[in-house]
Amino acid sequence: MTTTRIASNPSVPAVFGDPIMDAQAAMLDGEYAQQDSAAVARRAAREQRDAAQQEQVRRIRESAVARLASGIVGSAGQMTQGACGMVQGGHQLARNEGAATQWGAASSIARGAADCAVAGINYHASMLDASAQESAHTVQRANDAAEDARAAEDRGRQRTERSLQKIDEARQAHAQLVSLILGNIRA
Amino acid sequence: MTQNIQRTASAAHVALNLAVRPAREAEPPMPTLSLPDGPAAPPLRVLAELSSLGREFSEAFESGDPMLVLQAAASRIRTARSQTAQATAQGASATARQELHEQLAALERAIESSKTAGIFDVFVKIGQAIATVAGIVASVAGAAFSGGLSVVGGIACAAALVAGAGSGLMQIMEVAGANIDPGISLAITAALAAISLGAGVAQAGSVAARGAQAAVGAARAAQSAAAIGRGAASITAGAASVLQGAATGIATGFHFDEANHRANATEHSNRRESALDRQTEATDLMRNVLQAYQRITSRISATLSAQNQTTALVVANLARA
Repeated sequence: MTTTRIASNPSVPAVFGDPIMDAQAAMLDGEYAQQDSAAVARRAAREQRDAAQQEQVRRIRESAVARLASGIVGSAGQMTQGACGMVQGGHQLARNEGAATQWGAASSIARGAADCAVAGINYHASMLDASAQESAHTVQRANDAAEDARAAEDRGRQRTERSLQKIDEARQAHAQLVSLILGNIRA
Repeated sequence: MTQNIQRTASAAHVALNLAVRPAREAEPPMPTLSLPDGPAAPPLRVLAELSSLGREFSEAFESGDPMLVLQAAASRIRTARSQTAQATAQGASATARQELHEQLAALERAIESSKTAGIFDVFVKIGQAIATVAGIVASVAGAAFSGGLSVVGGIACAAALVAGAGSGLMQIMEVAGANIDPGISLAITAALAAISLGAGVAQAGSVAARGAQAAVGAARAAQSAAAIGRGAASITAGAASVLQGAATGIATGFHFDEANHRANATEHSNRRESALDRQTEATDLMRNVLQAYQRITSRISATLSAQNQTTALVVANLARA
């Protein structure tokens, strides 16, 4: 960048002939580099947070879809059980015990299979929920890191301001000294 | 003159660097200087770049005062950077407001879906309760009717036996009351009693047989009733399960809708947070630009003051000479 030329280019102090300006440029280069690194850290933390947030939302949506599938399977199981139970009742009314027993078994099997599938899908949804929760924790950590980096930037900026103030004071003292010397010479 | 221009160009170059450096983190678009990296740019190149920035630089160059050029450069940079940062901050603020509105709308839709899902959850519970009660009725009907009538049949049989035995005993009592030889009377009475007891036993057997027949019939009727009861209960339980399943499906749909709206709300919240970050960065950029501008103007003022003092000193020396 062009700013590095202030400190690294030897022609700059020669043009100004001001050692204070040279020192100021060198100091600013160092402090701006620190601020830049803090800004880079903050930007990286926010990018990490954005990625974690996207992951979190994706997991939440996947969990919702899994629970929808679980509900549909459970609903289908219950309805199948009900239909088999009604057919079983019809056979019982007709004193057809054998067929009634078969339909009763079919009803129980349908309900059991549906419950088993629902349990598996709910387990998957719980894993997705846990992953979303972990992403939320990552978001929180990234936010904390970004806040720390921002605080470091603020501290660096305040330090730069104090350094510039001291340099201005040094320049004023230098000017007073030159004025005093010129006054003595004139006297 | 050339030295003056070189000094002006270098000073402007430094001023540009000092002003640009604190504010470069957000890299907003602006009328940029295309100064190359590496060693210092040639002064004429710097002047040409500065001239392309606007009328204020032309006027500053025409005045021939390097401090005016510095002032123009600082002012130009501050204006461009501040305007860009302000536009960014305003855009980010508007985006944040819009995302907040959409987040709230999504949350309201999620609440509505949750209410509707709650209604169908009640239907699910009702269906479950009906299915459970009907299942219990079917089981109890099947067990209680058949087992209960078998016991009644047994009791009826036992009562017939007792009744037969009692009848035989009464005949023995009547015979025992007659004035006959006690030995013969006892023998006759015993024989009659034996016959009576045998008849009683036979009658009791007949009664028991009829009771058993009645019990079998009653048991069959009870089985029929139990079958009817079980069948009706099974149909009721099946219908309740179908109702429960349908309610579960509908409630699941609304729960999914609610979860979807909640995810949308979270996404809007995340976007709002990003917009607020952009707004904060733009505000930081404006602050940095302002601080750099203050530093540059302060330095220009100090330089002007030093120039004035030097000029006064030179004039005084010339006057003395």
